[in-house]
Amino acid sequence: MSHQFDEETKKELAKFLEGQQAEAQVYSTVHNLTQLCWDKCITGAPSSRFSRYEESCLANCVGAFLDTTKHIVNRIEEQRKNNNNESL
Amino acid sequence: MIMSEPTTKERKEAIMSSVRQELALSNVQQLINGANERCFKTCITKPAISLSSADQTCLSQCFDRYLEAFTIVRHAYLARIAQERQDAQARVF
Repeated sequence: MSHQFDEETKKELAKFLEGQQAEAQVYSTVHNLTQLCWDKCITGAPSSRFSRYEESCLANCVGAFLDTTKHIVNRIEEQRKNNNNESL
Repeated sequence: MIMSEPTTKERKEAIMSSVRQELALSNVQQLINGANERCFKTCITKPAISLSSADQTCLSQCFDRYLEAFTIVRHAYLARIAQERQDAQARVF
């Protein structure tokens, strides 16, 4: 059938789609973080440039959010361990 | 000239290009949504029949800053991912 792709092309397309999906995921996260960090860091009226505070706040905000994620995951992990010990 | 059937390569490239276009579109939509909501909140304090010139100046500057914020955040995020990856590799070896 002429509409079918050969195996090699199928593999190539699958790999391409995987890459595009990963890229979409990164973009989506960056958009999310931009919104979150804008709301946290930008308080005044917008001007022709960011203040030094706003600029460093935006850059630090990303790391702080990811550290928060890690912290919460670790905390859950700790609690899970404690619960396991109690039940033993 | 008789139109021939598209080759496998052509069909493959057509799929790739439409996926790329969709990704770009979704990216722009997310950017517009984020900026629209925030710049509306910040700049339009008293909605009137039409946007005042002060409103418009504020919106323009707000959108420029939003784009800049996106760039700063993307940079910070990609740098962090690269760092985490490096650390993970260092732990393996």
